[in-house]
Amino acid sequence: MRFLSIDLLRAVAIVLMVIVHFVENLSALFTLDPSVSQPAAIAWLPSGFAAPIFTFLTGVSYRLWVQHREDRGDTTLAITKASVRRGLLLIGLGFVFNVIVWMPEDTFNWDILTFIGSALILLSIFRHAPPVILPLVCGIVLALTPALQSISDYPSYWQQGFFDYDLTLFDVVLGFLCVGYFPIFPWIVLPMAGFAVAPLVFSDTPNRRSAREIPAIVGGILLAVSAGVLLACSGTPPRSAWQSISGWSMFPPSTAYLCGTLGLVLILLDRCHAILDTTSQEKTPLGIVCATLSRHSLSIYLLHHFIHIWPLWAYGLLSGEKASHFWQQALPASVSLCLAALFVFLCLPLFFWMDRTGRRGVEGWMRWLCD
Amino acid sequence: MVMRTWKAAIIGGGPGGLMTAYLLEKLAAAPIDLTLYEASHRLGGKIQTMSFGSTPAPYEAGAAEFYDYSSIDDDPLRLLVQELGLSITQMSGSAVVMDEGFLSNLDDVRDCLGDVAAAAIVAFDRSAQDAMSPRDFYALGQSHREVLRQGIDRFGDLLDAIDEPHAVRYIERLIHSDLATEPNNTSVSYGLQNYLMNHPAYMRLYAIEGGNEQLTRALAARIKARILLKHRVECVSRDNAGRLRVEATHANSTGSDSFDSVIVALPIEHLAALHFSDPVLAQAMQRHLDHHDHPAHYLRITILFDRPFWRPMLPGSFFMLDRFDGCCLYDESSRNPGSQHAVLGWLIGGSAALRLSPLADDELVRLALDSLPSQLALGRGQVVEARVHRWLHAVSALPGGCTPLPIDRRHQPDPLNHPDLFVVGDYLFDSTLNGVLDSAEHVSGWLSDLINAGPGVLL
Amino acid sequence: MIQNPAVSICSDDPSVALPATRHVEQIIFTTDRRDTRPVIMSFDDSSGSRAILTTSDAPNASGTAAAVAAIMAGEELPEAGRRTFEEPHGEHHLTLLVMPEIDLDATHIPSAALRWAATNGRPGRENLVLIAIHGAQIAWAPGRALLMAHPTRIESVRLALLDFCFYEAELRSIEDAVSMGWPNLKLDAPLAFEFDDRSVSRRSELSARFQRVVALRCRASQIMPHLNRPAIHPPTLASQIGERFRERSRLESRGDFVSDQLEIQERVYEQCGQRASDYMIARKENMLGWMIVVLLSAEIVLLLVDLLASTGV
Repeated sequence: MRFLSIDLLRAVAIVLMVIVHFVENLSALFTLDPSVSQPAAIAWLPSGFAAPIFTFLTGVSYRLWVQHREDRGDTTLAITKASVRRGLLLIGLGFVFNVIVWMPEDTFNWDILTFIGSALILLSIFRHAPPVILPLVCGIVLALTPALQSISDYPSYWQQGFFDYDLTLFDVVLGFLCVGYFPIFPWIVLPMAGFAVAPLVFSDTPNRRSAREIPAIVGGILLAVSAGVLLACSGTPPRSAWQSISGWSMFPPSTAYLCGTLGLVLILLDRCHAILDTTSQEKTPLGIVCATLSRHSLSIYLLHHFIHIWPLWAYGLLSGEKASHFWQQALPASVSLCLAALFVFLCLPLFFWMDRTGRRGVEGWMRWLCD
Repeated sequence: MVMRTWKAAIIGGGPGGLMTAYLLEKLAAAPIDLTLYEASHRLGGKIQTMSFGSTPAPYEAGAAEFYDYSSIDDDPLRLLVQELGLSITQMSGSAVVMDEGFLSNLDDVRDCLGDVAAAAIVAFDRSAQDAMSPRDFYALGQSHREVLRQGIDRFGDLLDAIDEPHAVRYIERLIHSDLATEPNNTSVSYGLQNYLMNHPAYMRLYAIEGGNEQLTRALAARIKARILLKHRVECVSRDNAGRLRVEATHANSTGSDSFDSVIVALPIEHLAALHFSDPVLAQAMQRHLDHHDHPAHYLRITILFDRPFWRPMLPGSFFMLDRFDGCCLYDESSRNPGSQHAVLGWLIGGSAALRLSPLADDELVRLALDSLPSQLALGRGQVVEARVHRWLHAVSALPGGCTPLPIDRRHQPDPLNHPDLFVVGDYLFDSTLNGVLDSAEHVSGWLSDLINAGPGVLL
Repeated sequence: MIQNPAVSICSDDPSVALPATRHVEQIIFTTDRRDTRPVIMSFDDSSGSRAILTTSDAPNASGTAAAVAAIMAGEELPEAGRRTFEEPHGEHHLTLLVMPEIDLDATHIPSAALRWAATNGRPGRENLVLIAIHGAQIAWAPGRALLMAHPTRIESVRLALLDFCFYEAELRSIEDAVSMGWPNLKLDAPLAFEFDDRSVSRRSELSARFQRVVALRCRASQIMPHLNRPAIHPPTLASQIGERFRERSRLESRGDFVSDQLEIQERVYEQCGQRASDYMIARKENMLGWMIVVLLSAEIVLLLVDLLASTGV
């Protein structure tokens, strides 16, 4: 059973991700006039929202998938095996992806694929925990993250604006834990929160109805806290010791940022479910589009990278420079934006065709291998 | 080591002999070779289910019912019936026909005999229950404890203590057919026992579906003993090896066989006809007979009618009639659910049975029909067929004797010189089938212990 | 003394009129002590139940005539309405037509009245018990009864009938309650073996069902001695009628059956309660265990990061 609320939010996240990646990788530093300095980031880009939504929904979907398998009568062991296989596959895919899309030296940058794979494995363990443990873990993670970032000297890995590490055990482990693109601390909070709230939002049992309001209430509190902290600490200088808590940054992911995005996505999920999931929307155009984008999110993730990164490397090499020469400065932002839109627009018929003809995407191959 | 086969003879193919054989084969752990002698052409003894010639309507020619003590404690006979896979029909009946009136309950007694008589009956009933609890009643057949009443030896004396003559008559009519003798000829405990058997808290009655003879047939089908029908045992003696020898005649020839033990399961009347060549044993048996011979008599007149004309007025399995000193009329056809026949059986007991038995069957049938009250007179013209069965000296009026002997002593008339000879009979307990089973259980348990203990124990 | 104790129990002859002294009684069996209406009898079953006369018209009163006319026509009584008998754990009702009659040979219960007794507001369902014994004629179905007997016997017979009606009604209500519980039991039975997280929310529901079964069991044990009471001796007409009704309605074996069923149900819910309790205890212990694991893991991560940062491996 598909929920339009989940499909819609995931589709929005996917589209945002495509736009942000296209614009950031192709145009973040682009300028026609070299004398004019451009800000390192394009302020109007809605960056920093796609990943929290997507990772949160990973937890939600995992919970619903587990519930579906349990209702079907699958044993605990079978479910755990399938989860671990999926997680390991995503981790491996993440490594391979890093090698072939980015650079070999970026293998252990702990990007979102490896994070989601790790999250699946961790959730397959924590799904046996009592419900109260998950919020506790989220709280501990949020509390520990600033300390870990401080101990591990997070800024030293991000001096060039991207995760730059040495291929040592020390850096690889630290990257996985707290300094990589999407380290466990604190990003695990989002899928874990999604896993925890899914039964509250999507349950029909009468004694759960009163608990259905909890996600929205908690989301509101988190948003308020985040806004309050941001306002209160708006004068703190960037990269200060407080930045990891009170600043609004994705890299490193500050506490205020996580609380704010988590709060936002909780409220969005609750409201979307209340409004959209009351009637069947599978056959509506919105439902079809969102379901298609949501169902092929992994394929879109991989494909959009191939589509806009490989030509970038090729262009750099063909120009006689190193492959990453034109990274972030190949095209104007408006062009990148149009390309992103075009990409999304062309994805739809492709995936419609795949669905109609029964052709497997990456997701289908993952299910075939792991389930 | 080779196990010796124990050879035992059972004289009598009635319920006592069959039960003894069945139980012995069940309890003996060592091999046992049983021979059962029966003088008549059939097994079953006093349990006899017969059928009319004109219509296959069954009726009980012998024992009328079984007594159910299971509401108080274990009832071995009921358990045996269940073990044999036999179905039962509950029996009940409370009506007494007196002076042409139907007294079905205390209200009728009050209306017919008056409040004083009703009160006297209730008082007698209370005192009977006080004298003998259900547990006492149950145990009476086991231990045969005498109910001692100061200055009163006989049941007749107990009845004489009742002031109201109508109440006395009512009680006498109620129990006469069970007593099979006059109240003065039996003990207080036996009389009370036969009164209280009408009380559902003490006992219930049942019959076996398809006829009471199903019991003996089922027993006979299960025993592996060698059954010798039409073999009348004439004499019990000792052979040269010191074992008991049984001589029996069959088709005008006499044969004999030696046994390790002999069990005599005969009614008192037939036991008296058995010859014991050893003088010591003969004396012992005579003492046994003298102690236990208190004959009671039954006469059964069973009539097949066109239809059950009595049933609308007298429902139930039986009712009492104040004729023939008090007799019991059984609705024989009510034993079998769904039966379409109409069979009424008179059970006359005691001196009336003895007095009437010399009469011809036709005369007895006429007397029986004349005994019907006027409300049931229409039945006199609906006779299809009639049968008469005489059971003189068939039961004991004082089972266990005036002073009951210890239970082992009852079953072994000469324990010193003839410990291998045993006796089984209902007259040793309570003159009922329950009593004969108790007797058979006692002897078979005793003997099987000896057999299981090994050779050389007995002698 | 009844000379001719019993005749056939019903008559279709419309010319046969009911005895002039007949009357209709509406009776309830209740435990309500505040009810001040006339008490006919009290029951010795530990619950304090009593039979109370709610309405009874005198013979020849117009109300009685209307009630009798309705019964004769096989219709519902005007004031009784559609009062049904199945009221689990509540009051039981009885409509009783009492017909004292001296000449029982000539008088029979009309078949229309029997039909009225048999249907009890549910056409097609007939569970009428007819007994004619030693001069008394009684027809009974749940909630309705017809009684014809000699005037000198009628009071004792009436009381015996009420006694039977009460205990039969109590047993019937327990049977109905037990049978209503089977569908739930089938759904709940797996929880008697294994309790899981999804069942935690059903604890209060299971508890309520267990209490309900226990209450039924208590009530059954209170009435069982009366269902199995021994026959009195010497018997009276009333005791004979009571015994006959108990026998025909199979009260004793029904009581045994319902006790067996209640035992099963009680056992299942008892096991459910045991499993639930064990599960909650294990869950609490599990939670504490998880908390320890999580805190230890957090400490390990902190120490690991600190170690790696300090040694610079």
